[in-house]
Amino acid sequence: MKTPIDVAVKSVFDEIIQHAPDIGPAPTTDLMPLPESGRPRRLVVAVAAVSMVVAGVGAIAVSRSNDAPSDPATASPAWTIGPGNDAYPGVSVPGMTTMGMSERTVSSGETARRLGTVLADVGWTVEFIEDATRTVTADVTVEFAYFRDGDRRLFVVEGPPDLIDSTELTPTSYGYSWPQQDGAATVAVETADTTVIVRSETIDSGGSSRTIDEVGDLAIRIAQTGP
Amino acid sequence: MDLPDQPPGGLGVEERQLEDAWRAHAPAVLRFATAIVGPHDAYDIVASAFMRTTRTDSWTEIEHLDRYLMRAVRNEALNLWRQRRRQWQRDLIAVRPEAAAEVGADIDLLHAVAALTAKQRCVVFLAYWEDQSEAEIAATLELSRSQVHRILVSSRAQLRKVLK
Repeated sequence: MKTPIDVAVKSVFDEIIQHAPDIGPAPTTDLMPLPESGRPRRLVVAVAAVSMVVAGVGAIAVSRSNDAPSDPATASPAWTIGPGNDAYPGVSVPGMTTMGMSERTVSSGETARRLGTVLADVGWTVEFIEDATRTVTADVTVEFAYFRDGDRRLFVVEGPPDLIDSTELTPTSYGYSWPQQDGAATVAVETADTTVIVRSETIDSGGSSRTIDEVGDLAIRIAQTGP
Repeated sequence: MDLPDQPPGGLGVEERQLEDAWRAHAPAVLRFATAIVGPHDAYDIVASAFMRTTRTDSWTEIEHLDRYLMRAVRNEALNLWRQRRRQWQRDLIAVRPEAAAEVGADIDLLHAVAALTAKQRCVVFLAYWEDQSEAEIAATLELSRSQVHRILVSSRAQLRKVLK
C-alpha cells in the first residue's frame, strides 16, 4: 500500500519530468547542440562538460575524443569541429539548432609544435594529445590542438579573423570570454590576421580550470606568434 | 552488383540502428536524466551518454541497453555532481515557479527532492516514479540490494522530515 509520502514524491517527480526535453533525432558526432536564443547560459553547451561551441557564422564545435568506452563513466567523447547546419537540412533538436561537422584531416603538426613553444614560454607543463585541421566552411579552415594540462584539458583553436559571433560573449582586455562556467574558462582573441580560442577545463569534477586571465594571456601569446 | 549501405537521401544501416535505439530508449532515459539533473542539462547528459555508448563497436550487442544507458547517465551526472549540484537544485526547483510563492508541502517536498544527492535521486526516482523494486533498481544501476535499501532508507528519512 502506498503511503502519503510515496504519493507526494511521485507527484513531485511527475512535475519534474513534465519538463523533460523532447528527444529529437539521435545525437551523433556529426551533430552538436547549439544554444537556444534567449538562453545565454547554454552558449557553451557542455556535452559531458568537455565541449566548446562558438556560436555564429562559421561556428566551431570542439569536443574531446576518442577512447573506445568500456564503461560509460570513463569514456571520452570525440573531437569534432565543423560548420553550420546547411549540410543537414531538416535535422534539428527541438528548441535547439544543430550544426554539422566536417571530416578531420591530419595536421602537419606545425601548429602543435608552435603551441608547444608558446606553452613552454609561459611555463605550462602540458602533454600534447592530438591536433588536426578542419574545414569549417568551403573557404574557412581551422587548426585545433588538444593538450593534457595536469588534471585539466587544454583546447586551442586557430582560424581566420571574424570566426566568431561575439554578441553573447563578454568583452575583456584581451578579447572575449565565454559566460562563466564551473570548472572551465574559455577565451577568444581576434587580431587582424587570426582568431584564437583557448579553453581550459578541469578533468576532476572537484578541480578547477586555469583562470580566465591565464587563458587570456595564453591566447594573446598564441595570436602574437601567428600560424 | 552490391547495393550501397546508404541509399541516396536515406539512412545507412548504422544510422538506422542509432536512430531506432534512440527512439526506443531516449524518452525513458531523458525522464531519468531530468529527474536527476533537471531539465536544462538533461538532453546534454543523455546525448553524451548515448554517443559514448554507441561509439563502441559492440554496442548493438549490449543486453538491456535501456539499463546501460541509465547507468551511463547516472555516471555522467555523478561526474558533474560536485560542480553543478547547486545549479541542478535550482533547475529542479524552478520547474514549478508558480508554486514558489505558495507555502505548502509540495514545494517543500520539491526542495527536499532537489536537495537529495544525485545518487539518492537516481534510486528514489526509480523506486517512486518507475515503481521498481529494490531488486530491479539494483539490476538497473548495478548496485547491491543492500546499497539500494540503505539509500532508500536514508532518502525517505530526509523526505519525511518535510512532511511532518
